[in-house]
Amino acid sequence: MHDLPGTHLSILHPGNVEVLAAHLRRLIDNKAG
Amino acid sequence: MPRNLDDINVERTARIYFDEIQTYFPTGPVALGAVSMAAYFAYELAQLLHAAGREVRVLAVLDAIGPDGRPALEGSAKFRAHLGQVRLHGLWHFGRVLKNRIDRYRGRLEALRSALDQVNAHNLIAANVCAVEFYRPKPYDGPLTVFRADHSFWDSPEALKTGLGWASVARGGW
Repeated sequence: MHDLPGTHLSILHPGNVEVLAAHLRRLIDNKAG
Repeated sequence: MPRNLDDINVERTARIYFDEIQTYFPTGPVALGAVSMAAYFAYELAQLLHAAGREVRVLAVLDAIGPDGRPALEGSAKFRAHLGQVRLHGLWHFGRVLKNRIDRYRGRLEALRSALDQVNAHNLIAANVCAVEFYRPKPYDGPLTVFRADHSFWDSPEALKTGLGWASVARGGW
């Protein structure tokens, strides 16, 4: 499980999207590798 | 947006997304992500894609309560958690708690005021809640990634241990 900064409603606020994207990129790259 | 809110159903909605993906993106790996209740629609979509032989490389659920529930802290543990928040944010913490409660009750009141068959945001949310209530997720063999909003200070150790309630269906790990 991964923590994202913020609340339930602010989880996709600007700034968090980049954090989430970095997490997802790592997951996708790990699975591809 | 559907014309009839009674038509909202997790399996049927997931099937619509599935058909779109199969039509417009018929090959290659797929990554799915969904916030809150939408997680159940993405979960069912992942099942359909998996069954069709598609590679679901990522299924990410964001701050979504899993089928086993997300128990909150209670009693003295809850009191200590609030105290920790007061240390971090000062007495403004209670202002935020109050604001959240008021927002929640205001939302419920507005939902009650609107006609049941009216298609609006409140009724759409209510219809989705009903659809998720009736959905029984089958175990998923692929990996599930759970994201949690870290301001959820009330999450109990049990909620954290079970991936916010997804552990029992996440057969491929979470």
